[in-house]
Amino acid sequence: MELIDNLQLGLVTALSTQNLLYCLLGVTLGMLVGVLPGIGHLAAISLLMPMTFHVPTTASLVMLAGIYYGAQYGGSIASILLNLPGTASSAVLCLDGYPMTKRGRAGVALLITTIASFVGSCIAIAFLIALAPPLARIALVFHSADYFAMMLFGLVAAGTLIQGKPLIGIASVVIGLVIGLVGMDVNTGALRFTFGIPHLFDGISIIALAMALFGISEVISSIGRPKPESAAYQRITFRSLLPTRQDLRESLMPMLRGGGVGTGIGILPGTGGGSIASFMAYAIEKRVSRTPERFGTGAIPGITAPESANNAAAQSAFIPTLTLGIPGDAIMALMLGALLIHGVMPGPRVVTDNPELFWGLVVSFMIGNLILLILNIPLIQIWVRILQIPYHYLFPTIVLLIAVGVYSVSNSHVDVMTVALFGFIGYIMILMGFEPAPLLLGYILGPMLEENFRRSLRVSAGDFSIFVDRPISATFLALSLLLLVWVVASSLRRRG
Amino acid sequence: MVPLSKSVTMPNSGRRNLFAGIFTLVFGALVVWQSSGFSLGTPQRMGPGFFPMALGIVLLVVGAAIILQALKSDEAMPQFRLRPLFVIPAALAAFAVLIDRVGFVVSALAVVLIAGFAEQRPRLLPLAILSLVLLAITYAIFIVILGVPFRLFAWRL
Repeated sequence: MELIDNLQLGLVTALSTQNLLYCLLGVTLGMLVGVLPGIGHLAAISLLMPMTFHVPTTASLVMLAGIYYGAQYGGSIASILLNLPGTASSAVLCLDGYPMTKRGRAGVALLITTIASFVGSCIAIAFLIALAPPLARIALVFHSADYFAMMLFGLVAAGTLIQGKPLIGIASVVIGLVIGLVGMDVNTGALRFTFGIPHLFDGISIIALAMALFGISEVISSIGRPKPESAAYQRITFRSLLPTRQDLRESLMPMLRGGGVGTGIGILPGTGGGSIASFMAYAIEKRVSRTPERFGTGAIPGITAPESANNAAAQSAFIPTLTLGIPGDAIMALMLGALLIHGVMPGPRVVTDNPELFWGLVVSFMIGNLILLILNIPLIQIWVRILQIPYHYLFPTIVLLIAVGVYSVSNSHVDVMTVALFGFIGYIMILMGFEPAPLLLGYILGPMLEENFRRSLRVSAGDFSIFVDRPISATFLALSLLLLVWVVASSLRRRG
Repeated sequence: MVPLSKSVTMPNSGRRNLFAGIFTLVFGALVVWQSSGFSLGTPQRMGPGFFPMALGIVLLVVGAAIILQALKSDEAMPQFRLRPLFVIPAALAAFAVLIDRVGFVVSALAVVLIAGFAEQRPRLLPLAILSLVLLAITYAIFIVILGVPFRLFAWRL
């Protein structure tokens, strides 16, 4: 059976010493950085991404993925122990996780969270394995007009569904699109918006932009903000980690439900990956539960479902990213950027042209999550201690890592200057209500959007109706329009 | 994510959204201006200016819409501190300017020392020690382990 062969290939690839090592490294580093409050896990990935460039392709993707769910878990640790969400998607965990800590059950919370992550990712991976090849085959039917319409839908979705005012979200997306166009226009050779700076011919560095928007702005806003008292420094013994049988029984269905929700949401392009999924899973659990009053005081389903959803969404967001080249959210956009830099063209071809890359990556997700599970048992003690590091020391470290990291990617001081500039402007924009994630998405998809737009019109000899004639394209355009109208209408209604 | 505290001390008529709208409008105008320098071409054979111009126009429209919406809202600008906003980018800019001229060691030290001033009351001695420690750590990670070519000391002013 083809599937078994593929899995075998994946297993062999993922278990190679090199890939295994990088997976381990990625997961550990990711956890370490994700735990630090004040660094969102998007910033964590941007920070560590330069390190992956100096490494062969498959290994670097494995490491990158490891960093991702490692960082996500790190964020959960911070939420549960300190009530300080390390990431937006783990914010939900504060609601029931922190109360558990206060009641002395921090260890249990942490362990169950790890298990939930693992379960969630397994569910998503099952879907990934089943759906990716058929999706790839469907994608072959896609024409440039369809890609354009689909990307447009993804962008509209990102701009309107991620928090904040939809109009400002759209503005964020479009500004991102423009920033993405900086550089040489491949079709005509014209240099756009480069202001005579040679390094910008290739466009603005994605790492620089991501670090500026997420890392630097995070640092700027965190400095001087009063930090809540570190949670009662608890000694976390191994015995106290073990959940009771009651706990386990309570968490099974939430984990499965959460995993399902996460997978469903993660697959859709433009949805905010982990955050929407985890909040939705929490809401579903509360509604489904026979004891909803317990939520908010340390209910186990309140942490297992969101965490499972979180992880599932993260992994399933890889599907549209890898097979269609459409990133599911900002982090996938970064991954897409990484893929492009390594010279891998995501798309329906990726499964057939680079099978060891694809299947190796898929299997490494499972292995990575397993490593996460095993590693954390002894490591939880250490995490608690690291969380005590005062921010005075943390933030200069972050700034230096960003500076050196960005520079190391292409030995360019222009990149570092970009971080400075966009960090400044970006923070101000965030203050004004702009959303950084849609902006990044716009930046990544900008050139591709234009390319498909151009190609469609060239093929149709200037006839715009090509977008409406083709069924796939028409559907996505209609969906985009509907979404826009619905969102704007409901926000107008709220104004009254 | 960046959780910011909203400060609504006095009724500001949607100043936050107003700024956003003005920003969008101005940005859009700049885009339109810059793209007019390129040929637009025809839809069939799009010039480099077509798409950016279209985006610029969209921004102008959206910006206007945001401003209109701002008149009905009452979101004020969140509180923020000025110091970190200027100091942190300055630290990065210092690195960018220095790295090719005086090498890795000086640049790295500079970043940490400058960044430290983003705090209200920077503690100089711990900061200096931290900068040396971080210098060693980043040296270990980037130069030794990852083998990135950095010039340690240079003098090319």
